[in-house]
Amino acid sequence: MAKIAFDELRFVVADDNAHMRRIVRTLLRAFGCREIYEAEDGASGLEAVEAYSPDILITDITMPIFDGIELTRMIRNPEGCRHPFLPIIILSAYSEKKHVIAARDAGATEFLCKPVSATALYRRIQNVIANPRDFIRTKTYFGPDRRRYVNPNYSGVERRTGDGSEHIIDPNQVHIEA
Amino acid sequence: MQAPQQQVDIAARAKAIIKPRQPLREKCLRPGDAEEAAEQAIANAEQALQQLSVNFDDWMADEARQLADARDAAKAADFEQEALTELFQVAHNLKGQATTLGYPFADEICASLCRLIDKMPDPSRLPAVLVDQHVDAVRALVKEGAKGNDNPKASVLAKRLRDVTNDFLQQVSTTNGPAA
Repeated sequence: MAKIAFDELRFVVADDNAHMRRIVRTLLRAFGCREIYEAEDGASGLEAVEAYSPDILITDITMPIFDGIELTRMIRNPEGCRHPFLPIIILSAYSEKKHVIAARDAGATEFLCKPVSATALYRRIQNVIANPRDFIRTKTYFGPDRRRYVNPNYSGVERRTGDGSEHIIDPNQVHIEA
Repeated sequence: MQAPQQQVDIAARAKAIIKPRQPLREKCLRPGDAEEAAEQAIANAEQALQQLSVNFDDWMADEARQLADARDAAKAADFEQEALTELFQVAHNLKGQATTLGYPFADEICASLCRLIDKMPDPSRLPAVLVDQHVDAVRALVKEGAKGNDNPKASVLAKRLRDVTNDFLQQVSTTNGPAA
């Protein structure tokens, strides 16, 4: 695996708590990042994504106006947002399974529980960059493949082949291979 | 907001596995030892956090004050939903950052308070005394500078509040519950 040039990356950090934004910004700057934009609620988070076209969004869940789950859903709407493939790292004090599943089903790329540590944040960013997942679009979901690994012993119906499914190679929405 | 036409075309299809081009790999991966770079970046970040920590006591005092204000507002509103939601959010925020700010037992106490609010079937019957005990415990920890994982008084306090909360919620779930 190669090393990450953080000075090439642009982040948006959405969190309603100014102290937490400062902590995350401090960590990112220490990693080498130079372009970090902040938002204090879901609405300004979406505006920042549209305005700054970040490479990665880090967002809290609990925020005013609309929360991080709703923000993720809005971004993962190809008809409404210009950056539906944006890597999204949810950074939340919620650690219960139902919240992790809600984030996953909204289309989050990674989930990181607070308290945040330098190591955990670095590893999530590293994973987002070095191990990007395919995207899946069904009638009810658009987002990163929720299957993290291939189960060689899986014996059920393969729902992703046949039945009108298609593979799309989508380099910035230029080449589309049906 | 107008999405590019090609993205709309993608959305119009019935079912798809999409392979995004990997712009981040192309943009920011450079030849080099990934683990060595990671260790250095993480060490830099931990050092930066250490430098930032001179502010943490003030931040924690600020957060504890906000928690007390939210508690006062919620009680004044008889634990009406909007005020209670605000109290939950302040406690939840503090739960998320208290450990980073050096107060892991405040994290535990806020987790207990969030659980009390979240699991209470009828918020109007929230026991004000128990809410007060959580908030005042956080303020006491901050006032006493009870940092770290090895403060015995803070440990006992957090455990006692968690146990009392669990007992109370258990009673509420199995009976009509004690009076608020």
